[in-house]
Amino acid sequence: MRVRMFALALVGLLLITGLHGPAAGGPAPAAGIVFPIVGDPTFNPWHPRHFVESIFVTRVLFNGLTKWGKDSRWVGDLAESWEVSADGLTWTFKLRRGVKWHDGRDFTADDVKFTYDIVLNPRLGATGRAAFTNIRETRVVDPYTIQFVMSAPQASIVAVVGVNAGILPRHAFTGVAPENYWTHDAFNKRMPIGTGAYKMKEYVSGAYVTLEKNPAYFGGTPAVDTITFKVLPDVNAQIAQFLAGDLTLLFIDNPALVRAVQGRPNVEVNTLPQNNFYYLAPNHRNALFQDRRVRQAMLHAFDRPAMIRGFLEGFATPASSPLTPVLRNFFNPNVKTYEFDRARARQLLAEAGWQPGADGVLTKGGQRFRFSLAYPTVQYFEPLAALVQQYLRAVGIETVLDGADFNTFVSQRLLPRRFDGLLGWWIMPEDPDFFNYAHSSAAERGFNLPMYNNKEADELMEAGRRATSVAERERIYKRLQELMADDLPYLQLWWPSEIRAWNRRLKGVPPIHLRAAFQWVNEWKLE
Amino acid sequence: MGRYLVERAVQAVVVLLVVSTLTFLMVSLAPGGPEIMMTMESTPDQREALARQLGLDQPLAVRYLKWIGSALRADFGRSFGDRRKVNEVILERLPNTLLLSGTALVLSILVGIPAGIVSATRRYTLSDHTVTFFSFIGVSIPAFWFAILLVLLFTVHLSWLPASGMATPGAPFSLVNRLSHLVLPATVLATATLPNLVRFMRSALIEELGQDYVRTARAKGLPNRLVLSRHAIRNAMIPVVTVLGVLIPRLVGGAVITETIFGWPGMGQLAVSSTIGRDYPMVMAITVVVAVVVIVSNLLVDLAYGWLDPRITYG
Amino acid sequence: MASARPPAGADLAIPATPVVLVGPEPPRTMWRVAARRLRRNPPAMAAMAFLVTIHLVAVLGPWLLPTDPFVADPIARLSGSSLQHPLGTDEIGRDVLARLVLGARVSLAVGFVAMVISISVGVAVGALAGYFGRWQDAALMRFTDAMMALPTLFVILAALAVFGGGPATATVVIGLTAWMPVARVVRGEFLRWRVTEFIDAARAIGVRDGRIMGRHLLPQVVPSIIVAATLNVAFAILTESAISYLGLGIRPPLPSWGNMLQNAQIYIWSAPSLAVYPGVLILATVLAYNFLGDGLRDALDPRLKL
Repeated sequence: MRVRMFALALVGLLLITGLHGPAAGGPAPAAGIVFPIVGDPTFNPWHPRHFVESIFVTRVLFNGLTKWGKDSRWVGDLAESWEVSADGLTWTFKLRRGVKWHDGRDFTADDVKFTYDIVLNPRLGATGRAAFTNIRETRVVDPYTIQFVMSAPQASIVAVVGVNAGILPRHAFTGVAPENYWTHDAFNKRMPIGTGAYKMKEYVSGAYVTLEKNPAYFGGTPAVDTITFKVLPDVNAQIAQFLAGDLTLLFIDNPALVRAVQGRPNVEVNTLPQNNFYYLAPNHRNALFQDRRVRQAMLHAFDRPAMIRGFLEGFATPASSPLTPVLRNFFNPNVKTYEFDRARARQLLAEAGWQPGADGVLTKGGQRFRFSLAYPTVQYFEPLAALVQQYLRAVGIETVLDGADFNTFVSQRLLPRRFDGLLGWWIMPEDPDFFNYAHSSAAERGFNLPMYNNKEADELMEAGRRATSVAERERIYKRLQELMADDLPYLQLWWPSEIRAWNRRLKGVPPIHLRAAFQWVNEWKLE
Repeated sequence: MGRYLVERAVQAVVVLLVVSTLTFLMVSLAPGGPEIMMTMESTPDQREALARQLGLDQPLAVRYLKWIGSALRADFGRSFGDRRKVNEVILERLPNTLLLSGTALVLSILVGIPAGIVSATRRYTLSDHTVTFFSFIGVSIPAFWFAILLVLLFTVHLSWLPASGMATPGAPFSLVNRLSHLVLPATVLATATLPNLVRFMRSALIEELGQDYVRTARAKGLPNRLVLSRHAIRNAMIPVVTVLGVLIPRLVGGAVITETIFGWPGMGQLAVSSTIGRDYPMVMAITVVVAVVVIVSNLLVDLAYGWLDPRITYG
Repeated sequence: MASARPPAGADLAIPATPVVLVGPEPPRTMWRVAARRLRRNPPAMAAMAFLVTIHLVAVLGPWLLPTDPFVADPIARLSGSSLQHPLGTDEIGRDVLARLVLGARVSLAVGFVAMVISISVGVAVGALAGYFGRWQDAALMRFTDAMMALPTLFVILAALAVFGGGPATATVVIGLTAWMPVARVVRGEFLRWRVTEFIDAARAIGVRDGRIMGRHLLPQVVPSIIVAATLNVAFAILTESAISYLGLGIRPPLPSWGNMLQNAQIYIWSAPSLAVYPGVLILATVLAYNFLGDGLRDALDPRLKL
C-alpha cells in the first residue's frame, strides 16, 4: 500500500512541476517568418550583451539614422538627409517627421540625443562604442534636426550610425538612472519599444520571440503578420527544423553545412559577397615578421584556391586586400596578388636570410622559424589552423597551434596581444575607413591586432577620414589598398560569401547581406 | 526523528558551504572574464567601465563575502551577461529541467522495474541476457551520439517527432504537442539511468527470492505468480527506492548534454552557456540550486525508505 | 541511527555487493577460483578479447599504419572509402583510419590515466576516513558528499573552463570527478576490517598505522578496486567524449574518438560515416569494459555463487 502511495505521490509531483510550463502560447498565429537564433536575445542594441543572437531581432525592432540600401549604398532610415561642414567637424542629420514609437508616441531628435548620450558615456561601456569615439557631443537643433560635433573628422560616420545603432525611446527610460540602463529589464528583456517594422508580441526565454507587424511603420506596413525568432543553439537542430519546414530561412556560417540543404525541393540556397575578410594576423612587433618579404612568402605558401574549392566548398574568393569588392567604387582591383607558389615563397624567405636546416625548418642566425598560431575554436578555425600549419611547414615554417575557446582566445590572446600569429575575421561596415583596424594608434587600444605601424598607411587612413568628397576618398583608399597589398599588415586569406538558405515561399528579400536585408523586412512576402 | 532532521540539515549546510566555496574559487580564478567584456570589438575603457559595473574591480575576498551575504538572503544577484536577476532566470528554467528529468525518471521506473523483474525471475534465459545486454548498451552509449541517431531517424527520416524545443512556438497549448517534444530528450536522458534501475531491481529480487520466507510461501503451495507479486517483488521494491538517490544527480548531470542537443530551455543548457560565458553569479547560483535539489531529494529518499521499511527508525 | 544510505550496488560504478571473504588473508586460491569463473563467462571473455585487440591496435597501430593521421588534402576531403583511404577522409582530407587508430591511443590513455587517478584518490580518501574514523572520517566524508552532490559533467565543465582544455587537464579533471564511489566502498571495508581481531593484534605488537593500512587492510579491498577500476575506465572514456562534444576536451589536430565525433557533427548530413566510426568504437570499448567489470564482479564475489 505504502509503495503504491509513494508511486502516486511521485507521479503527482511530476504533473504539478511539469506540464503547465510557460511555453504555452496564445491562439495560433497566421504562419509567419521563422528564423533561428542561437541564444536568448537582448532587446537593447547598445546593451553590452547585444551579440549575434540579438542583432537580427533588434534590426527589426529598431531603426538607426541610416541603413544599407537595396542598391548597396547608404540610405536614410530615421534620418532623411545629412550634410557635413567644410572642416568635417559638424554633421547635421535631418530627421524623418511623423515617425511613431510602437507605443504611439512621437519620435524626435531628443530620442537621438538620448541614445548617443548613452553611447558617449564612458561609464556605461555600451557595445560598439569604439566606432563613435570621435563624436564629442550631440546637439538638438530642433525636434527634427540633430548635430554631431566631432573631435576629429570621420567621413565614415554615415555608415557607422547605420550598423547596430538603433535609436532608443527616451520616454522608456525616464526615472531610470544611467547606471541602471543595463538592468532595466522591463525594456531590455521584456517589452522593447522601437520604431521598427515589427513590435514585441511574445517572448519565452530559451524558446522563442514572436514579433507582430507594426501597421504604423513609416517604411510601409509589413506584408507578413509575424516574425518569430526561435532559440536553437545547435546547428544540426536548425537544419533538421529547416528541412522539416519549421524555419523559413537559415543563415549558414560554415560552408560544410550547405550540402545538407542544397538540392532539396522548396529550398533556395543563394550567396552574396560581404564586407568581411578572414586573415592570419602576424604580430608586427615580433622579429620574425618584420621583413615584408617574409609576410609575402607566407601568403605565397597557401594554395588558397584549393582551400576554397575543397574546404570552403567554393563559397569564398581569395582576397587581394582587406577591403572588399562590396565597396564598389572604393575597391581597387589592380593590386599585387599572391598566387600559390612555393618556389617563390622559398626564394623570398632566402632573400630575407632564412635557410632550411637539417629537418627542413628554416633557420637564421641559429634561430628556427617557429611561431605559435592563436585561433578560437569556433566556426571552421580548428581545421583551418591544421591546414595553415601544413602549408607553412611545406615552405619550412613551423607552427605551434594554440587554439582556445572563444572567451579564452579573446581574453588571453587577442586583447593582451599575446600571440605570434592569429587567425581571425573582421566584419566591417560597408565603408573603406580602415582606421580602427590598422592605424598605429589602434595597436594597443583598438582593433589593430597585428599592431601594424606604417607611417604612410597612417597618413592615408587619416586623410581618408578627413576627406569630404567621394572622389578624394576613392583616390586615397585605392592607394591604401595598393600599399596594403604590398606591405601586408594582415595576411588576407579570403572574402567569404554569405550563404543563406530559404524556403521558396519567401520572396522579396533584397540582394544584400542578411543583416541588412532584415532592415527591409517589411518588404518580405510569404506566398 | 527531529534530531535526525537537524543533523541532516547541519550536514547539508556544511556541504553547501564547501560546494559554493569551491565553485567560487574555481570560477573566479578562471582565465578570461564575463563575455560582455571579452568580445573582439571591446576596448580597454569599455572593459574598465563594465568591470566596475560588475564589481570585478574589488578584491576576491570582498566579492566572496558579498556573495555569501546576499546568497543567505536567497538573492543571487544579477547575471553578468544580460544583467537579469539570476533568481528570475533560474525560476524560469528549473521547472523545465524538473519536467524533463522527472519524465526520464518515470520512464526509467516504468520500464526498468518490469525489465528487472523479468531478468531476475528468468535468470540466464534469453530474456535475461537481452535485458542485460541492452542495459549495458544504455550505460555505454555516448548520450549525444545516441541523441543524434534518434534525431536522424525520427525527425529527419520519419518526420515523426520534433527535434528541438519544448513546444511549437505560438501554437496553442496541447498535451500532444508537449509530449511529442518530450519523447526524444526524455528517452536519451532515461538511457543514462534506466540500466541502473534494471540491474538493481534484478539483484534485489534475486536476493529476495533466496530468502526463507519465499521458500516457506512456496512450500505451503502458493502459486509462483503470487509468491512473486504478493511477497518478493514488493519487498524488493523497498531498497529500489534508495537507488533514486543515486539517479537524481546523474539525471541533472545528463541534462547538460541532453538539453544542449535538444534546445531544451532548462538548467543544463543554462549551465553550459553561463560557464562558457563566465557568468559567475549564474554559475554560482546553478551550482547551489543543483546541490540543494540533490541534497533534498536524497533526504526525501532516505525518509521514504524509512517509511516504507518499518524496521528502520531514525532516532 | 540506522543508515538509510543506498546500498553500494545502487550504482553500476560500484560493486553490487560488498566482497565477503572467508578470512583476513585472502587465500591464494581465491584468484584461481575467480579466474575459473571468469573463463566460464562468455560475454566477459569476449569483452576481454576485444579490449586486448583494441589496446594492441592503440599501442602498435600508429607505427604500423603507412598513412600519417595529420596530412591533409583539402581537395580530397570527405571522400568515401578507397584503396588509399580505407575509411575515407575527414573534413580537410586526412585519413580517417589513421586518425581512428591514433585516436584509440589518446582515448584509451585518457581512460586509463583518469582511472588511475580516480582509484588512487578514492582509495586514499576512503582508507584514511575508514581507518581513523572520528573527525577525519566526518571531514573526508562530508567533502565526498559535497563532491557527489555536484553533477559530474557540471564540475568538469567548470574546471575545464578554468584550467583550459588539453589532454592532461581533461584527464586529471575526469579522474578527480570519479573517485567518490571508490572512496565510499573502501571506507566501508576499512571500517569493517579495522575492528577485527587481527588488526587489533597488529596494533598491539606496535605495527605502524601506514603499515597496517597498506599491508593488512588494503589487500582486503583489492577485489572491489579491480572491479571499480574497470568500470572507471569505461566512465572516463565516455566522459571524454561528452566533454569533447561540448568543445572542451582533447583539442584537434590531435585526434581522440570524442573530438572526432564532435567534428563529425556538422557533417552528419553529408558524410554520416564520420560520426559512425568513432561512435561505434566508443560504444564497443565502453561496453566491453562494462561487461568485463561485470564479469569480474561475478567472479570475485562468492556471494553470487548461489
